[in-house]
Amino acid sequence: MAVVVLSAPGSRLNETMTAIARQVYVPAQVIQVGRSGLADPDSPDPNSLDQDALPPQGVPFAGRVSRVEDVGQILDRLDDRIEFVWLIHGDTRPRPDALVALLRETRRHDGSVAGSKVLIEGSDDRLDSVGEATDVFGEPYSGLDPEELDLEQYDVVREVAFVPPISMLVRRDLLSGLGGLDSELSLDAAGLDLSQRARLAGGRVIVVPSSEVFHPLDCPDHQPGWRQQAGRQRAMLIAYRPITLAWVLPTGLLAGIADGLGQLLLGRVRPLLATLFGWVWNVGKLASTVAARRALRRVRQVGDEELFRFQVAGSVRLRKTLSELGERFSRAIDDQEPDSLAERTVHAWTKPTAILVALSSLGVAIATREIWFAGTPVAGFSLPPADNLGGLIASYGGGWHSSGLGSSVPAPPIAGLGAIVNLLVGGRPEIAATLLTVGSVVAALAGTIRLARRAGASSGAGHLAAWVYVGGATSAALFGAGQWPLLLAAGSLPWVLDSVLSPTSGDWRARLGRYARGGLTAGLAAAAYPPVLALVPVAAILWAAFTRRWFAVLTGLAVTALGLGLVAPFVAAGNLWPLLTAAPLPVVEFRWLWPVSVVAAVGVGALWIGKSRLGPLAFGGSLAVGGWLLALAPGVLAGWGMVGLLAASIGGALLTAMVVEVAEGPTWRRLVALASVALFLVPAVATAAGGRAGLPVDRWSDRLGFVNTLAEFPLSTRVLLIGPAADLPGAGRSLGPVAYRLVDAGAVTLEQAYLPNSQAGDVALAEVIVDHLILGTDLRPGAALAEFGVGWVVVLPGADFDTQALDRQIDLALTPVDPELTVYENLAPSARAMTEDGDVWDWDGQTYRGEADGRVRLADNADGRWGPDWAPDAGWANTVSGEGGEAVFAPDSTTRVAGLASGALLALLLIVVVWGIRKPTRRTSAKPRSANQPQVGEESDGVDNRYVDDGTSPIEGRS
Amino acid sequence: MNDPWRRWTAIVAASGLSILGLFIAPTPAANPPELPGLGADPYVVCPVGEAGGGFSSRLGVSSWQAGTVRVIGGGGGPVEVPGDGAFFTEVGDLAELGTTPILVETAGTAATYSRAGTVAAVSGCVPGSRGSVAVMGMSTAEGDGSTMVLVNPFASPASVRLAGASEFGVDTPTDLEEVTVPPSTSVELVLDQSMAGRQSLSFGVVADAGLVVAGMKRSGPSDVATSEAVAASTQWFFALPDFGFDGSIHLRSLSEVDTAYRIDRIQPDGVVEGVGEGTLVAQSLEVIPVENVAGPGSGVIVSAVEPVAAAIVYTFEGVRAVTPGITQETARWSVPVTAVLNEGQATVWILNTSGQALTATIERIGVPAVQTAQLPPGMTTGVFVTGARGGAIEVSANGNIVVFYGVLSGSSIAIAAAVPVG
Repeated sequence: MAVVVLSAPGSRLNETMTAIARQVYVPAQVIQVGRSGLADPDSPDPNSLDQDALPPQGVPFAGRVSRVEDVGQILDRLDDRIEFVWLIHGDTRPRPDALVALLRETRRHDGSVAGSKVLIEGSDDRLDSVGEATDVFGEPYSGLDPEELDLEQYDVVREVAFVPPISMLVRRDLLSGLGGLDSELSLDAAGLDLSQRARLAGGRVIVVPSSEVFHPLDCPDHQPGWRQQAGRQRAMLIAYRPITLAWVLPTGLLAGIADGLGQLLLGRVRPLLATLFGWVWNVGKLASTVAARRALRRVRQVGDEELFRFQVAGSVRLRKTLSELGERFSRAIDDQEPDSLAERTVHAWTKPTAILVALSSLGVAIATREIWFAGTPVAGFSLPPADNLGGLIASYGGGWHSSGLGSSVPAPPIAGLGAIVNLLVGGRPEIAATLLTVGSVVAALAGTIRLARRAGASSGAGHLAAWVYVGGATSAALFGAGQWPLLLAAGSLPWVLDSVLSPTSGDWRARLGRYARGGLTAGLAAAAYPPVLALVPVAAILWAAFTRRWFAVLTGLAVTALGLGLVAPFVAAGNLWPLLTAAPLPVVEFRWLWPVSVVAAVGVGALWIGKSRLGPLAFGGSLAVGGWLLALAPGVLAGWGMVGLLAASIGGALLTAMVVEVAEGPTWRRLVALASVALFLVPAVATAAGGRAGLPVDRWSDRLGFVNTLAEFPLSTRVLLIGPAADLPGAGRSLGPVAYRLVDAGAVTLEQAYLPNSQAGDVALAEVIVDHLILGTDLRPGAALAEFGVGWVVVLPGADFDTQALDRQIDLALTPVDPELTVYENLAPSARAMTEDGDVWDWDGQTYRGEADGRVRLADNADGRWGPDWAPDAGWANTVSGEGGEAVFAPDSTTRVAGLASGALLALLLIVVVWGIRKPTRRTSAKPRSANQPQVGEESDGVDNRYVDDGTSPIEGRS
Repeated sequence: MNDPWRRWTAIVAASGLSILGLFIAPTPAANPPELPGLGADPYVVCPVGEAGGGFSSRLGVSSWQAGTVRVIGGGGGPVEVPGDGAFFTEVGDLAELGTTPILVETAGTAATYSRAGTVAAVSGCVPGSRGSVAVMGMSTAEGDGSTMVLVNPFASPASVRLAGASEFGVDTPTDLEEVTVPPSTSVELVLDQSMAGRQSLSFGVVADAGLVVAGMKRSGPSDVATSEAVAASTQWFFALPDFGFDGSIHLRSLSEVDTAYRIDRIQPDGVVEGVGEGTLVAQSLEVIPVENVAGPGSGVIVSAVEPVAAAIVYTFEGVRAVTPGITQETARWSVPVTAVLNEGQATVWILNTSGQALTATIERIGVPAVQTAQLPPGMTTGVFVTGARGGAIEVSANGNIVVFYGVLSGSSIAIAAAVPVG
């Protein structure tokens, strides 16, 4: 029996050598490996051991110690009579009977490679390893819980995938046949490699729990890193047959990258780099890998199936990362989650929060199922962004807002938001829209849960409240009317309010970070629907009034100001009218249900909830009633009414959260409370069951695609849509009972959602519609519409529009392309941009291009920024010189500067948000709170401990 | 404020405001301003124009508004109508051969006058009608042949239902029950074979989709008659020129119920009511010989409870003429085209319905020539229009009159209703 001590960095070698000297079974030979990745060349000589710790007879192997520089030289140094080789890491402390137990059980079980049970040095019998399994990619899986104690629960000799060379006994003949340890590999990877090769050579790899060794958890050779990763990859490359490698390699690479990206989300860069470095390193070591494969082939007895027997399904790394992401998400919405990773991991699936998150995730999957399969429905204001940066330029860059007949006034910021997201997803408008929709739903749910927790509700109450917010009667009315921008704003609003409502505790860095986060989310809400921002100071004042936290008012104003800064071009233009009047106020179904729900909830809550929750109850009730009354108030513009409905939604959600807390008390009281919650929740269930996040049925996806197919110049053609205002995509203009709007050919995009204020061209178009499509003053309405670039006229079903004039005309050909739409093709030559010779110029979203010598007529509202050599035409249109082959709109410098300022503010806020994030302080123990420790939301000595801040304990968080 | 107060204040406030909200009616959508209805038709269609060497048409337009004239479904480019009151052109200049429906894009009146040698026919140009119209005066009896023309000048396809009526009652071949007329085309339905042997034949035309303008051509042994379709009305006026023979009044029901009708005779001493009465069966055709109700030189008024279509059909030996009635009496009339034959002079027949003697003025538009004529009460007076060469004329009087126009020759009669002005 020989002992090979794999030297480790540090000064523990003395202890290891001493522990070896105290072994019951005396080794015949001791070899110390002094160099290579496994050893420390400066390790001390065994003759200089601590004499007091040695057995009375001294060092039993004195004089039989030799040293080699590299693990590759071990085989050469072994005496011929050596039958077993005990590989032990240089900082391992084996119990005195560890070696004899290993030998005994190895012989008894005919083992080839045997490992000890590894306990963590310095802990009270905490387990580190009892043999390990791997996944197919070589990632070790111990199966142990963090902090798991050794209660002898694993004390049975069994076969395992591998044992680490912390303490590994190997038959000498096998070790010789396999060529020894791979000197290229780090500690764990070398153990994995040797174990796998031993198994493929027909050997048995077992763990012997009766052999116990202690090993420090902070051993440098035991830490994860790119060398460990690279080593595992090499072990895989050596062990598997080509057919296995054919699928393991690509899937391993993808799994590694996916895991690395997941780790990036967790703020860790190294895992991704380790994966990439590992592959690069293996490419460099390809020659030696091939040689090792050849060597293994000579001794291989069994196939890869033997390895699969000891592997777990899937990717261990990926699973771990996803689990951690889930935990992180739980923490994001519930800041009362434990901080410690161990604690989270231990309790993850036993905590109600995890179950609730799983249920809510299932709810999200159900509530958005049609969106996953068919994309966000295109209806109302739910429109995909255009596949260009036109929206961003129109809203933030001072460019031309080409909705309708266009305007130089900045487009609403949602156009820019859509363009940016589309850019981020690589120019996939449908994916961008889906991402925004689903992201907003998730953000709305998570934000409401957090807000409800902030207000003192339990996690379960928060989840119920979140669904009332997303799918309650008022939200259902908004989203069902196609008010997609309100859905996006709804995603941010709870986070804004959370920032406003949070107490002023924490240091300045944390406070600034919180303000920045509030400003950022306020900016997102404003970008989606700017009037929503008016809710923030109102909510802050209400909160301050009801909870006497007056600083919330200042916070609310600051956050609002920051939010306004992020939509500076829109603010500078001061043009809210088109937004506020773009659509009629959605109708809330069962109008009586909302006030009944509110009264029931306020009644139940006011009578039975604790004193400390009265403030949040009043806050929620005020929003629920106030918002609802605002929506009903005579003379209020529809846009403000919609903001009122959104306020009612968040108020109803908070009421729900508070009322759920009336769970303590007699059963009848609970039943009454649950009944009042049910009033709020029933519409939400109906909304979720629809599967479209409350949005209406898709009306316009590819509906106008025929224009691209049939039009001669689709890039220079407009479509005139006539129909009920609620059915038009985006905003419309009205002529008495008739609503109409112009859209770009083939696709209705987010940039066109809102129409700018009416200008001369719009007036002229209205006159043409009245004269030629309603009065029928001549037989050629197509010729009149051609002046506006209208190539197609589409009449929607249900339009209160008399088509008699369309029946008696000769240049709009009825074209049967859609069974539901009445479509007319304009037979008169029509184009948005046409030269004097009739040549058509194309529109790319920002610029007209074509070939001409003379002048080009642009059928957009007249604006002197068009060029070159602009001149008005027909009182409302433009002509420009066509000599350059391009007609461009010179950006408005004021808007552009404002846009740049918004961009700079966005960058600053992002930096401050990241800077302000304080890593949570790890608790030193995972012990549960004592029974007499007050819990969040409970009352203690008449003083509430709610409204806790991030990063502070519930108790510390009181202000 | 102590705790119970706070709690009850919250309840009372929430309840009060919610009740208030329940009483606030949703803001009613402001009643949108009414949109104007469909304006006057800015066009007329001449369904039975003819182009070619043998039997060709002249198109006359009376309009003070510029416009265009073009052949539907082909032909040369549009011809400008200057809008100076009277314009005429030969249809042969617009197209080469055959039935040539013409679209006149202007807010005026128009008519086509077709002739070949001593044979003439005249018919008015009308806009499309959304309601039922009747094509009257056709016959497929021996020696006669009839063709119905359906014209769709518009850009949308039209689909029409046809309901035939003859002396056999409701009489519609299955293949003619529904006819589709593609955009900018016309369809000629030759009835000689499919509906042979009908002495009197009429078709009701109802457009289910789009609009059509209908007309008919009838050929007799030595004469040709043309007519536009007639919309239904509850009152019809007919002048009865003294051609030496009498025609017959064709009444066609376009409703789904039977209707009573009455014929009154206009004579110098007043109107004699009820010279003829009867019940017109739904969708049927009734033929009433003029000689049974009035004599030459007088006039008749046909009244019905439900709207009916009415025309006078003249058949005598080889002569054929079909004249839709006039639905109103007034003092000013437009004659879009004057028909002139080698053997016959352009003529207007004026029925004085005012009950007193009147003086009529006949003015050739664009030409400084004015004729006057005395109109005895209750009589139809024929006036030759001297110097007429095809242009439009206007007939006015100092009282209500009813005007027909056309031309007479030895072997042909062409007569059509003038168009009331104002």
